[in-house]
Amino acid sequence: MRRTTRRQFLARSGTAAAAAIAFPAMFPGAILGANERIVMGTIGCGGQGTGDMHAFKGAGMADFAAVCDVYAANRERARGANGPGCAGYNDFRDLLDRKDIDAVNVGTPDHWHALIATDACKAGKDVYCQKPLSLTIEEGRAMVTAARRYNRVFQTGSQQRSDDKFRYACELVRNGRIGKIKEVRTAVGRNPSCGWDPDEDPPAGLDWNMYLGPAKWEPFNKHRFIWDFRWFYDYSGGNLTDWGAHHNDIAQWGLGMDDAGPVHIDGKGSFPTSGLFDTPITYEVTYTYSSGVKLICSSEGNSCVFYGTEGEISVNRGYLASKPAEIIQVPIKEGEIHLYRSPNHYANFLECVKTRKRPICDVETGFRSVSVCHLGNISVRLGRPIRWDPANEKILGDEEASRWLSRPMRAPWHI
Amino acid sequence: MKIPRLQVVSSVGIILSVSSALGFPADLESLLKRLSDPSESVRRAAWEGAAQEAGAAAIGPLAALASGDHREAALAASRAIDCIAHAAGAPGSPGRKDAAAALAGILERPGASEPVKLRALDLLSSVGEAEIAPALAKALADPKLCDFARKALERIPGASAEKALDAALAGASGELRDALIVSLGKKRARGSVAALTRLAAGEGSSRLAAATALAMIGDPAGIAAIQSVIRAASPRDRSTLTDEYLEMGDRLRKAGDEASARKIYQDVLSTSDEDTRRYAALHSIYSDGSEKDTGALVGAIDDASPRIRSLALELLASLKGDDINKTLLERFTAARGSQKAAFLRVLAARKAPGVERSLDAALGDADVDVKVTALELAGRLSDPANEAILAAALEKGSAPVKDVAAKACLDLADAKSKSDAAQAAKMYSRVFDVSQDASDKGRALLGLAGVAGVPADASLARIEAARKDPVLAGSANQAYVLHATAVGRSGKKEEAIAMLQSVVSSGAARETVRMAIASLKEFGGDPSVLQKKQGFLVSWKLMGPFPNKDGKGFDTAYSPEQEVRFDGTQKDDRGRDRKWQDFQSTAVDGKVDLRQAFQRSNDVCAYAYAELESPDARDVRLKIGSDDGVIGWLNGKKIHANNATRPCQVDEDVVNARLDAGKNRILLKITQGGGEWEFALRLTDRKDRPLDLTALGK
Repeated sequence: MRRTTRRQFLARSGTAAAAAIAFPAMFPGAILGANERIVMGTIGCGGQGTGDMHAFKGAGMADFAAVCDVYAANRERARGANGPGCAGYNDFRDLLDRKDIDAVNVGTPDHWHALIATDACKAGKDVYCQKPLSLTIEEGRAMVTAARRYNRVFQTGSQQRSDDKFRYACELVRNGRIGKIKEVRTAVGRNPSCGWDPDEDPPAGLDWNMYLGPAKWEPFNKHRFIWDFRWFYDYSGGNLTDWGAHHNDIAQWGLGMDDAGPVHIDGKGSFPTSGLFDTPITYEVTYTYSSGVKLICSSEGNSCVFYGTEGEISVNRGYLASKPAEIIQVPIKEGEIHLYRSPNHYANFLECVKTRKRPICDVETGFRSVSVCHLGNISVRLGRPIRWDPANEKILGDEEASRWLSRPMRAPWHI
Repeated sequence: MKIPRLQVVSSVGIILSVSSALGFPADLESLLKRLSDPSESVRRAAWEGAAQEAGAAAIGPLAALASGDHREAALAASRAIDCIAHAAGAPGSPGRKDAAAALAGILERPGASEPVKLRALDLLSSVGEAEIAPALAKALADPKLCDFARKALERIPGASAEKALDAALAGASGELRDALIVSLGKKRARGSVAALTRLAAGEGSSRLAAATALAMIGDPAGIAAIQSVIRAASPRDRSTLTDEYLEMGDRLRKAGDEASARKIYQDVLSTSDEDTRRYAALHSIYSDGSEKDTGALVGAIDDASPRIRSLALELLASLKGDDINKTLLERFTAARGSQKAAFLRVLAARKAPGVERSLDAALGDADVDVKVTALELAGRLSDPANEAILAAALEKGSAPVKDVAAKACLDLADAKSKSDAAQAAKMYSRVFDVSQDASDKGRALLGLAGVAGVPADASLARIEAARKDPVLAGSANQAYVLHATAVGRSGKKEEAIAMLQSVVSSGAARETVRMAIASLKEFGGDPSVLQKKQGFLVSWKLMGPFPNKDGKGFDTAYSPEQEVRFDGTQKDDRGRDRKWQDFQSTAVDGKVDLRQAFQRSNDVCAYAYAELESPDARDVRLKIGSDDGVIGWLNGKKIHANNATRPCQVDEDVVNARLDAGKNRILLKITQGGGEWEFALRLTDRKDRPLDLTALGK
């Protein structure tokens, strides 16, 4: 029998040892789910949650054993899409009690994300949570903490990370193809206004109190419900978080700021003069990073453009262009920076559930990106610039703004 | 919405008479008037400038206006209060105290509406300090205001806010009492530890809340009380409280009290009945990598939970210290089977001195677990000479070793597939039959489809059976497409088309459907059978984009609304010639991606046209999803309009319509603000059963 030299042997085993407590794959097959089919549950069965559920099924390897929604019509529709074995719940805690569920797909309005996702982590479930990840910065940090403590795979639903065009744009930027970065401009769309439609009785089958959950009590109004919830700060943050969690996420990626953020934020907005919605119709936020690079996020349009000393790159869904045009023609070479590649956001999550690796838009990444958006909203709402310490996650020298990093919840909810 | 001028004058008049009587300055009167102005730009300018031209003294009169019946004026006044409060809350502002006092005054103000009082409490939570704690304490007694007052006190720092919450406990009950207790916890109110400990030890319903608050505060004096509540709690409450308890350990560790933190982790590890919590506790004990006492880890190697066993091994691999190496070597020598293999992995990961000798010993071990693990660590699994031991490991190894053996077998089979297809197929089949790992089974199926070209019946049977297994269906469908493509290329096109259409209509993954469609096209098959059977129109002619700035495109009738012409003479909005382009949807749900078609994504709209042959006149439903708005015409008649901003959900809009016998013309206009831009249309009968368009003649 051929003897193995110490050198050969240690060369092979060294990588895992260096990984220390980062849960190396040194012990194959010993981790929950690695050999199993992935059984999932969907919490929040509106258009987004159901769409994500179908995308998971399309990506393969996932079955949905249960769905949960406080609106029976949506719940039953989603349940029906999974066949007779699929259970339906009104209360997400009942779904999380199911020991046979490995992972959850969270597609509720934003004000529920943190409570559900942290409870899911604590219940030992892996989590795919829609963007915007959280309603406040403190909630986002709590989600990261829970995911780490319970060693959960946690993907944020900012799926542009799994789009080749966005990844390639960020690789070009990171490899200096447009020279030194000066500025990024993102446009994430205006927020609408609406009228004074009257409050009504909730539709049959809707548990309105549970829908509101940690948000303050309000009578039912159709605008506070499906889709339009995003135009209320009680439940969301307008397009600055809704689309900001896409394009500002890409800006963070391109700038290599996935574990950091801007240091100065100056936002202005124009709020509705009538109607129920309370997010600003138009707005613009100028973020300054410690390097001096600026990210300017506005409500006018939908775009993401990186400006450098030697050119610019514009990227969007289905669109990639550069000035000069040749910049995007030259592939990234071996030895240059290659970013995490994921051809499918859902498949990436499922794969990571099996391998226990970090997904492409890990909870920390989603948290950092949504923090950029939340800081913009804080500045816009207070009407003044704020300073941010990304390392310690503190707003500097502004007591009022600092209190807005969290938001006390309606009893009995807390995080 | 416009405010009738008469009503505005009347409303403001009441306010002005009060403010004048109180001697408010003229600029305040002017502000109130402008906030009630019919012009929205005047109102907005008024509130945006309110902080500069009016101070805290304006808050009371503004609250009165905000409580009025005229919604625009009330909204403007409310925003003005916001602006004044936030300006007062700015760093260095001298007006904070006055603004907080004025906001607190709203709570007592006669005529102030409940929403205005709640808004005042919200603002107090932002700008209030200790001095307004008494006012908030009073609001705690008002059932309509109490939860907002509690939330404000939770946010306001300082002992007076804590005392207000503490004092309110005596008079509170039920949910409010529990919420007050948790707020004390969130505030880390150390002064309340004794009271909370008594509550946790009592018999009342607030035991859980009190223990939760104690854990949040993180004072070691609360540990015994928390433990006692955990023991007595229901399973769900026990889980929740244990989470807080573990977080308490983290806080204590961060504060430098390592002994108390360790006590908590050890307690959870030894008493919790939940793997998840025990896992977190074990991880916490060793999370800084400096722990020297391996007792808990060595004990956990034999834990009933595979997750905890795995974590114990991983942590053992990462801990520093030669004494640990010595312990592990002793354990390795004494152990047998899968445990011995696990210790070998740990020793390898640790690069322990003398591990080469252990490895050599393991290579000669009779146990398949030990031997295969040693081969893997030695990098010799890909040696064809190991085929027999791998086969044995596949049959008899422990789960982790089976996994390693399966992957190694697949590697060997891949290497053999070109030189010895029959032997490779045999190995793939063996892995497929024995492995419990879905990805290995899937890889085996693809290998089978690949090596054999046209697989033997046994291989095809495996693939077909796996297509029915939800866990294997993804790989199996891909394998089936490979197989069908091989069948088609061997000349049996009809057979291949049937197989491929079954994949397309099975709801397979998008990439697999793309593969199947490509092969269908190669053999002359129709790739849209599934969509057509579900009633989706998939063949469209598209024209656009047309302008939709500020959403005006929805109501602008561009030329296709006048006439649809395919002779190349259709004009756009500037009179230029435009042509219709053909578009075939390949999406399973029939969606047409207009961004893909037009390469444009913002502030535009486009038209989509399709024809449908019906054998007879019949009542149908058109089911339309669109992102964003949509207008529909059937045979020249407008049948639907929905100026929405929304994502595209199939079947969202339902329109009852009647098809003519013969050719029916369907025209849609789809508007776009930003983001995705797509639509889907399908037909059902009036009982919502999809029309099978393959049978309808389309």
